[in-house]
Formats: sequence, structure tokens, C-alpha cells
Amino acid sequence: MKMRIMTEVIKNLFRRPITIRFPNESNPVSKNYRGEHCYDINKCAGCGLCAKVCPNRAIEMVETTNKGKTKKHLEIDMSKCSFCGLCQDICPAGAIKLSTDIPSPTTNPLSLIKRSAIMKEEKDENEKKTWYQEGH
Amino acid sequence: MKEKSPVEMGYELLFGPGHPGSGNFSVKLRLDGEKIISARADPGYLHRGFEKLMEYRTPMQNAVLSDRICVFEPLAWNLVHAEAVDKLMDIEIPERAKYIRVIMAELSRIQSHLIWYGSMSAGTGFDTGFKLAFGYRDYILDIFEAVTGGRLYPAGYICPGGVRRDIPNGIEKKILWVLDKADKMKFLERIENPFLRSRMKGIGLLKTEDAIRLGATGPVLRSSGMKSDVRKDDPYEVYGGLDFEVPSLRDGDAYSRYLIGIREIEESIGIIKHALKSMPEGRLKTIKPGFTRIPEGEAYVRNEVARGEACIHMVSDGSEKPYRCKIRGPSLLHMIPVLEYLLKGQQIADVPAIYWSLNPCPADTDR
Repeated sequence: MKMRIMTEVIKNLFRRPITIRFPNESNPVSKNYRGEHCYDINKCAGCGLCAKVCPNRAIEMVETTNKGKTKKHLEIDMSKCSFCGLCQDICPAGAIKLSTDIPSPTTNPLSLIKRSAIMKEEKDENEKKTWYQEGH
Repeated sequence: MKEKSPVEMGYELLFGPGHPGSGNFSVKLRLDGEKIISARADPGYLHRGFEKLMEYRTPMQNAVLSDRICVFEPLAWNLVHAEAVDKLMDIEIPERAKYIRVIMAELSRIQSHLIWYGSMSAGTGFDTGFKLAFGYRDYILDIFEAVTGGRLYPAGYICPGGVRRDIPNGIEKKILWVLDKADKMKFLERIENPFLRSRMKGIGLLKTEDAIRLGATGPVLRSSGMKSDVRKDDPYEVYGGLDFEVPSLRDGDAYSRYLIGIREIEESIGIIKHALKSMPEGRLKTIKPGFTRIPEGEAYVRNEVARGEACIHMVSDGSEKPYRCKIRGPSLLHMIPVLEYLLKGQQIADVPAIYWSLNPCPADTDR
């Protein structure tokens, strides 16, 4: 019995720790991770299928006029979103995608409503940073 | 009728809902000293009204909602819901999708049994077991993240018509690695922890007749000596072609319910290894997510989830949304009639051991 404990102790001395130093290191998320939305307003045709398929009715289609042109685009209420990715699956133009970014926590509930104008576009894989590295 | 005096009625003790060992569930106990005279389950703290919500959503949206029925095993409930819609719409599922469904459902079963084991250990004061089980479970959650995109909630990964996306390349190797890790749980059965044994042996005895009478299913019924498993009795998906045993024990006490969880993990590991070997290539789904009409009619499916028998009875009137969706979860009968029956005449100190040995899920009880 004693020998078993000793071998376990010696093994543990050379084992890598399972924990990570949180603010400096982070666990990598997988490629399939369903995180914050990326939206390309130029690809979007304004068909509104995503708003229809959304189980929580988090997506709303709104109209804006810019230089005499009216365009339908979407608005996402992140507080309602369950990150199911049905909008990504149904979009015929591929305008909306779920990125691997974890949505950042906020104290202002109004900032959770993502208007397409301020919604970020798809980033390069290399550029990606986690929310705490961006200094929130 | 004359009201009973407090002395006659006995002292009342609330086990939960704020108790760390009970979850969002409460049991009202009437005590005579340390002895329980009667127990009354008090559910309803986690009621979210799924049956009504499902009448307002299309099957694809319901697939996302069905995750939330049971917090501990969302993928298994995904499968039950998807099968009900498949049966109503008369869809033939591609062979590869069937295998992926089975693998994910079995991984979900192992994960759920690990939570069961962990919380049972925590409830009886065996912290090492709790940490071991939750540590192993985390490896399985990593696989869920790689395959479905969410650690806990797959968001309707198993959807009507197949599965939403293919399993990533090279995940088979990782699954096998994780299964080897989970296989180490076997040693817990061998070492027979004396503390756990003394707290659970001979406590909460449930005879076979009582188990059947009170409506117990799954591991609780199997640990009482009855070999009953929907996967064997009424095979769904590809379970008919996979070889596995249905473990059963004869004692029917809390300790045998603890042992049966570990035996079932072993069987599930075997099933996943067999399914990974014989998984064919091919298509993944037959319908696109959207607004397909469900043909008029009704369907009833039953599946073996980690806690027992899960059933869905779905009625459609020919529109896009189901007319009625009746959900029958395994926990409801374990948590109300079986728990009330078992707690009668026991000591207060044995309440957590009995409560957790039934593999309860408050979310599934209230729905």
C-alpha cells in the first residue's frame, strides 16, 4: 500500500498541472464552438428567414435608409439568443455565422442588442483573441 | 375533524430546495426524533412548461428546446424528440446519422452516470469520488464541444431527419482516449470504499414488485432485480445490431444502485467502441432546417435515457407545429412515489444517500 502511494507521489512530481493561469492563458475552444455572431451586411439579402427560424425570437428585421437606399438588415438581442446556430444553417447567402468568440459580459443591458452596423465582420483565425485579452 | 396537535403530527423538516444536496427540489419530512414518519415530495421549483411551449414552435425549434428538458443529458432528450418527429413524418434516417446518434446518446449516458456517481459520493461525504467523477466528465464535455459546439447544450444537434453536422476528423481517436479514462471508474467498484459501503448497504430497499408497482424504470428497476431495457426490448436506431449486456443486480438497496451505474458505464463504453468500428460513410440528414409541415397523425416513442424510460407522445393536426406534445420523463416517478415510499421509516442521515441513489433530475421532474 505504501509503495503505491510513493509511486503515485513521484509520478505527480513530474506531471503537468491540469489547471491554467487564467487571465494570461486560456483553454482553446474548438472550431465548432458556437459563439458570438459575425454578420456581413453586403451578403445579406434581407429575406428574414433567420428571424423566422429563431426559436427565441432574438433576431428582428429592421429597415434603414442610407443615401436614399432602403435596406433590410437584422438586429440581434444577445440577451435572448441561445446560440443554437439555426440562423447560420438556414441563411441561403451565408451572411450570418457564429464565430468562436465568447460574448463579453456587460453591465449595460442595451449594449446586448447588436445592431448590424456595429456588428463585427468575420476575422482571420490568427487575429482572434478571447474576451478577457481584449481588456474588457 | 379535529386538527392534530403539533406533537401528534411530528416535527416537520424541509430537505431542500435550498439544501446543497437536493437541487431544485424539496422533500417535506415528518419526524419522530430522528426517524421519518412520512415524506412528501414537493416539486415545482423548476417548472418551465415545455409541453405548452412546444405547441408554438416548429420541430426544428423544438429540437433546440428539447435540450433543456433534462439538464444532465440534453443529447438523449434531443434523440427522443427527433425520433418522435421522424416517426410522424415517416422519414428514413441515413445509416451514418443513426450511428452518430447512438454514439452521442451513449456518451451522454456515461456523462450523466458520472454526475450521478459524483453527486451520490458528495451526498454521502465521499469527496474523492465526487472530484474523480466530475474530472472524468470534463473530458466527455470536451468531445461534446468539438462535435456539437457547446459543452453542455448541443442546441438540437440530433435534429429531426438526422444530425446537424458531421463529427470532426480525428475525433474517433479522442473518443477512444476518453473512454479509456472513463474505464478507470471500474476500480471504484473493486476497492469497495468502506465509508460508502457502510452508508449505503441495506438502505432504501426496493423490492422488484414495489419497483414495478411504483413505476420505476431504468437503473432503479434493474438494480431491483428486473432485466428491463428499452434498448434490448424494443430496439431503436441501431441498437438491435450492437452487442451489449443489460446489467442487473438483485439487492435493490442504495449500494446496488451505486454499483449498477458503474456497470452501465462499462456497457456504454463497449457500445461506443462497437459503433465507432462499424460506422459507415454517407449522408447526414434528409430534411433541411425550416418549416416543413408535419403530416396529420400521432406518434409515440420510448427511449432508454440514463435515468430510465423517456417517452414522447406527439399529436399533429397537419400544420407546421405539433398540436400536442406529451413528455413522460423517468424522474417524475422516481422522485415522487418511489422516493416517498423509500424514505418512510428511515433515519434523517440516510436521506441524501437514498435521494441521490435514485438518480434524480429536478429539471426532468418538473419539466
